[in-house]
Amino acid sequence: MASIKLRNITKTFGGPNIISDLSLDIDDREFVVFVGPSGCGKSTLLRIIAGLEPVTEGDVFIGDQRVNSLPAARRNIAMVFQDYALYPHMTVYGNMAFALELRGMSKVEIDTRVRRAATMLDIEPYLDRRPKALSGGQRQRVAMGRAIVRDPQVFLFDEPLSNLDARLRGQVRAEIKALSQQLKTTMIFVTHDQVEAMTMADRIVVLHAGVIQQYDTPEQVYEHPANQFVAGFIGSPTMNFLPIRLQGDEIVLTGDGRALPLTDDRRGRLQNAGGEATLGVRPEHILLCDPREGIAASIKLVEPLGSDTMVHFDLAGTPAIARVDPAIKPKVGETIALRMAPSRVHMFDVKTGQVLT
Amino acid sequence: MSTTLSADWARRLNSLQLALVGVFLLAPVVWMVLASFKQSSDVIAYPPTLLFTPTLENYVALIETTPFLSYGVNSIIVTVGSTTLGIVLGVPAAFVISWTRVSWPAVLTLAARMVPGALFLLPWYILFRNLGMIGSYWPIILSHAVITMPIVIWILLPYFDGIPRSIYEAAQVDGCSITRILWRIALPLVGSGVAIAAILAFVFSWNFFLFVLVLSTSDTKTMIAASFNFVGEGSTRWGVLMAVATLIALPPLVLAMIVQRWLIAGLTLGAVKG
Amino acid sequence: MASLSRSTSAQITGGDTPRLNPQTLQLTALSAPAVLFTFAMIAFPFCYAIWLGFHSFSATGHTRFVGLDNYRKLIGDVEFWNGLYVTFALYFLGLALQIAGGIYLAILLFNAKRLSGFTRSLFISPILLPSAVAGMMWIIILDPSIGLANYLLSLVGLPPSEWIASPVWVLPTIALIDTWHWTPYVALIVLGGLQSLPQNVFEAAQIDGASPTRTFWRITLPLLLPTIVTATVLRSVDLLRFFDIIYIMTQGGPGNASNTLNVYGFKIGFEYFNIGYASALMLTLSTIVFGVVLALNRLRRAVAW
Repeated sequence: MASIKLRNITKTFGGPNIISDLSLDIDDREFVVFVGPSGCGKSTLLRIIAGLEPVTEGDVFIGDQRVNSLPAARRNIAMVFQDYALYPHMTVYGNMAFALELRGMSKVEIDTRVRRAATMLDIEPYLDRRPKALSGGQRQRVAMGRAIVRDPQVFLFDEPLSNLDARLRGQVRAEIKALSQQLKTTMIFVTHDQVEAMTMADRIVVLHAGVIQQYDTPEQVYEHPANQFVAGFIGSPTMNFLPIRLQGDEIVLTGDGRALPLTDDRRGRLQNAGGEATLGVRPEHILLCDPREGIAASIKLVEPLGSDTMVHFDLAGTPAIARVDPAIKPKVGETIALRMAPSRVHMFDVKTGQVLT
Repeated sequence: MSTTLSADWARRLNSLQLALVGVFLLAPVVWMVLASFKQSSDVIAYPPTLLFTPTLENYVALIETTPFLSYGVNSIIVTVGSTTLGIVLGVPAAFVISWTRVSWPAVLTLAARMVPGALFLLPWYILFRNLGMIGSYWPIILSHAVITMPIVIWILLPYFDGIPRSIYEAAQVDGCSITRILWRIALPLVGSGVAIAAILAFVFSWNFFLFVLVLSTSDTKTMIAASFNFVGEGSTRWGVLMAVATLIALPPLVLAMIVQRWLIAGLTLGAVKG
Repeated sequence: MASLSRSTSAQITGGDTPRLNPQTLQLTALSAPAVLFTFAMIAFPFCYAIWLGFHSFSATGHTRFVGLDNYRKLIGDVEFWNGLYVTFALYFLGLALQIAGGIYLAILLFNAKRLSGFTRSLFISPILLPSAVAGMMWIIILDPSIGLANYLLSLVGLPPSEWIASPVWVLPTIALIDTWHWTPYVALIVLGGLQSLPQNVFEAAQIDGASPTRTFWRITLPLLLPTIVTATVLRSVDLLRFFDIIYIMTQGGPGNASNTLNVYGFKIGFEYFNIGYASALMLTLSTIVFGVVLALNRLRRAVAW
């Protein structure tokens, strides 16, 4: 059990920086998820913490120990790989016992630990099988078991769910979360799936181009995205972005000059930003309303999901989506009236993408 | 209807041609084996006979009149020694080349295949003589390891490359040093590759003629080196010569039948993916 | 300026990832035996041979630097030019026969879909015979007075041949023996290439209405070219260094009709012990082999698809 501190990490493979001057504190027993699009540096960052990749510059601390020159073997961490990386020539038992064996643990102690982990993960019946004879989900559990028996300071997960089918993924996701509450060990989980990030994390690190965009709880990241990238990355379907500007005393859509009813403090912020901004509003925060007070839009596409219905339309020349009650039964071609929940809209700087405060 | 008929004929024609080529390729070998079982009068009979009373007299003569058994022992010592050395040197080398993805050392060992062996033989001979090693098995074993080590490296490289990187990394996280990864993870996974490499190294070392011709002495003479001396007196003892040839040819043929499936990759040193 | 240099030095002492970490150390240790062996048995002897090529050695053990004398002597040596001719005559003859035969055999094997592994390995068994054994068995088959070969000629009404005893026929005969020995090898490589060709191209050609002959010349052969060049490289390396079978069957004779550079060089070195001259000759041969391989590699890139 340990906290992790990253100080001014820079990583390059000779070309452009994969990670640029990144600092991060992860508390003891915290479950942190690194999320971002592919190529954002999240896996590299995890491998740096694991000791599989040296840093170009900066320091890594696990506990209070600086581990820059400590090889992976001596960092007391456990890692679950995307392809599980089970040893094909060893049984499930052998896979789980291997690391303990290397540490010179007694046979009795190894046996106790392996069986305890196997019980926890429900894989006792397979202990004598080889990885080849297991299903994808079972392999995934063995990979977790191999990490659990170690009783490490830190658990690292490198997209461990991406090779599972959708149904199994939801189930294992819940299991990992339950496990993390049971084990009370520091865990870092890398994923490109924002749903996994939202559902599992104590705190989320949103990464883009090797730079931390936001580091906060799932609620904060969702409710108060720090910039347009985070706002667009977290949430599905993605947030709607509309150009707006200040016209006299009114905030209007840049596309067609229609006025938006927003609170007064927004006007001040927009003023400070030079009168122009990008408005961000999630599909669930676009509400249907009385045609007399709303903005009219014509429906272009309807996607019924069962629990909700997604309605696609153009707003001042920009495509947008609203999440509506399926009972409304919207149809393509119909005109609807919309308004935005005033407290749930975000404004971002046109140039920097930073949220306007 | 007509297409299936012509396809049928095409297949028959193909089989016929294949059979003719097969006869051309195998007849000399069969002739050699037959001659080794012929009495001396049958060997030199003209026209040549296919029907004869088989005899073991050539093999008996070989063992009784020449130290052929000890030549055989020498052959085995040299071949097993150089195969072992090739494995011991080549396996870790192939692992490191695959791990680091630095491939020029592997290419360098191939360069040795392009240079006429006699170019190496002159310096080797001088060096081994100055070191007082001529007369022992070492010069021959070391020189044959120049053949076997590249074979081992080039056969094992694709095997090592086929192991997912993440398995190595999992082992590192589990606490393995690199040496231990080779022993506990990589070697068990490429076991069949090592076996094939060993067999092919054995065959190539066994078959190699030039180095034993120069580096072996009367005490370390191998079957192939000794057989060269038989050629000189061959005109009088053809049956015996064919018995020698048959005995030398036997081990590589048998071993090759065992690994015939993997032979292509091995024989072409990775130039073609079997 | 001062602050700049300080920050640089701070960076160097700060980022103390040691150059020789345990990983690098172990990789070095694992490869060390093979590297040492390669240097001791390949690189060093090669350099030593270059040194030998610039020296002359007298019978009394006296060593003398002679510069390029050995190479000058080579140019005036009739036997060298004869060896060069024999080497290349054998090379072109053998190569043409083996490549053509290899492609032919590969196609036969490819078309015979249902061939057991054992049968297939019968076809490649000549490769596995030591060349010394191949030489011995052909000596008997080709014997002018009692050999099987002349008997077969007489059956079809042809006059007997002197084979390797004839200065005219010795090279074609040896080329034929080498073809017998190594055609299956070329066939194996070409077969590998055939099996890896994209099948849909042939189906497309069939739909386009191409005849089998046309398909072979216009599609199969061009697609096979890289593989064929690979086989050519591998055979060139051996053919240009032709030694074993000649040394066993004719020792370069009759006269010097089969005296390849490799055989000639070997005799100079190990029968006449003219070490300096032999080294110079072997290095020249090495250069020829390297040159051919480089040229063929360039060709391979040109025909790649």
